[in-house]
Amino acid sequence: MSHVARVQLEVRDLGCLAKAAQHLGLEFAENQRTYRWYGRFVGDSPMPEGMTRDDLGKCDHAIRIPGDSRAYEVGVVKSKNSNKWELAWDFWCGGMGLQARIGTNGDRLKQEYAVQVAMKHARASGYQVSRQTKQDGSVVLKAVRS
Amino acid sequence: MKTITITVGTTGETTIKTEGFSGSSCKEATAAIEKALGKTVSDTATMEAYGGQSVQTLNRS
Repeated sequence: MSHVARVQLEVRDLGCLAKAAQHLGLEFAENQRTYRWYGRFVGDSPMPEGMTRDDLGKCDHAIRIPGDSRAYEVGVVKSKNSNKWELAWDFWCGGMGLQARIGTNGDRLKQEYAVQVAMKHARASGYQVSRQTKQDGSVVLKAVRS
Repeated sequence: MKTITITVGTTGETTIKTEGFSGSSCKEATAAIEKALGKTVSDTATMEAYGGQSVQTLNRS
């Protein structure tokens, strides 16, 4: 029997998030409680869901570009109502270089996170995992077990 | 040989496909990966599993 499942990503595993950050050449700063941003909400975009003005700039951990003191940073924020983690960052002006690293909407970081989670769980179940990046940018993991 | 093919799209959305499993063991095999990744938005048994019929469950969380 075979099946195909489509899964919508939710960030729950901090270890995998840290590995994903490292894979993109970023640094996971554990317990860094603020992340660099413009510093003032100018109201030119909707407030992220579930956040208030006071929450902006505050986080539980952060992801940053090593040695770059100008680029904005990603705040890793514990979700108030579930065991998920939310990623927050200021994308104004490309986040001063941050967006080039994490992708539009943080997509590169989210993709790499999903790859790390899938590899971890497949290996834990005894699978050999190989990784390949397709021309369209998607990553294909082949997990094989006899 | 049991194979799980996991495709992670450029926005982090993931598709998981299984091959070579017997009975319902394929669902058990991917349950842990699916749960760790997030919310399963669709789950389709492929043709070979149900003799040509396609079964889809939406919004299974």
